[in-house]
Amino acid sequence: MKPVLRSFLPLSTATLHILLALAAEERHGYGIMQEVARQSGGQYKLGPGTLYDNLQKLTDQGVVTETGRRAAGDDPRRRYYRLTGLGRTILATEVTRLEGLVREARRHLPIARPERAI
Amino acid sequence: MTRAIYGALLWLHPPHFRERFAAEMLWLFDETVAAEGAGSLLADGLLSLMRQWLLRRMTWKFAAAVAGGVLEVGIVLALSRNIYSPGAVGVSGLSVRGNARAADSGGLTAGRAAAQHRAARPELHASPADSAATPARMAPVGEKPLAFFVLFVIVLVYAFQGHRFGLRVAAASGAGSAAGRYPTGTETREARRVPAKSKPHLSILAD
Repeated sequence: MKPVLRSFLPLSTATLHILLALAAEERHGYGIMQEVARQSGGQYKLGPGTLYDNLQKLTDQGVVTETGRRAAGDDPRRRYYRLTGLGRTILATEVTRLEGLVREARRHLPIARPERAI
Repeated sequence: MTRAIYGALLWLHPPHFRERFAAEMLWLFDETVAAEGAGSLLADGLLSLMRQWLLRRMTWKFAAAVAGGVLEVGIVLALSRNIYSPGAVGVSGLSVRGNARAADSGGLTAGRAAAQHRAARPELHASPADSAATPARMAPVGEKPLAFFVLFVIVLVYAFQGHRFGLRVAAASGAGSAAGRYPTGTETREARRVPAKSKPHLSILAD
């Protein structure tokens, strides 16, 4: 892993969810909130404060960027965000790191599959 | 009502954050308040407010500088026999000025840090298209007004404390002499309530 990437990792839960929400397509703030709720099955919900605090940090770091896109009839207050090249690299590196972590956990713990656990 | 409170919370955010995101956050509040409940959204807004001032703007540096300044002034006042002596006032003033300058130069905003990061590592900031799409909206730096405000508060606290110490000296040394030295109506009334033979409250103030 490049040393510059190491400074971004590990990602916080909110940051990871935001980057994942933006991985497929560009979205506006409300779209990100809905996608995060969908990804986590409603278990993790971002508030507007947490979302924009993270978006500010990520745009300042160049991980996420604002697009100038405006759909016809869109609310003028909506702004769209998307991942940059750096953002994609960071997300991919974090996912690889998490895969390694899960592999390690499976090796050491007799983890039952969720459907068999009960 | 809750919308107005949320709006007030947004208004209290740092100006650069407010200009960028407040309208959108208010829109999200309108969209989600029915489903999420006003309580959780207000709590989230309050947390965001604290994060913005304490973490993103590095205001903790100001807090540390102010705490240092107050401590220094407190030590000077505690050690001086007469808090109105030119020496005590001069040292306190210098201490406050030094801390305000430290706070002013130490307050590195997130925006400025990001600009430095961009300049130092341009390769990390993706493709030219990304750079073009990202608006150049680095945070306007507002440390100086804040530092002066902090300085003003410290001076105000100092003046108030000085007045209080003055009252106590007046009460301890009798109404007659106090009226000449601190000629305010409140202080004179207070001084009259205390017997003239009472002992001083603070040993450092005793002559």
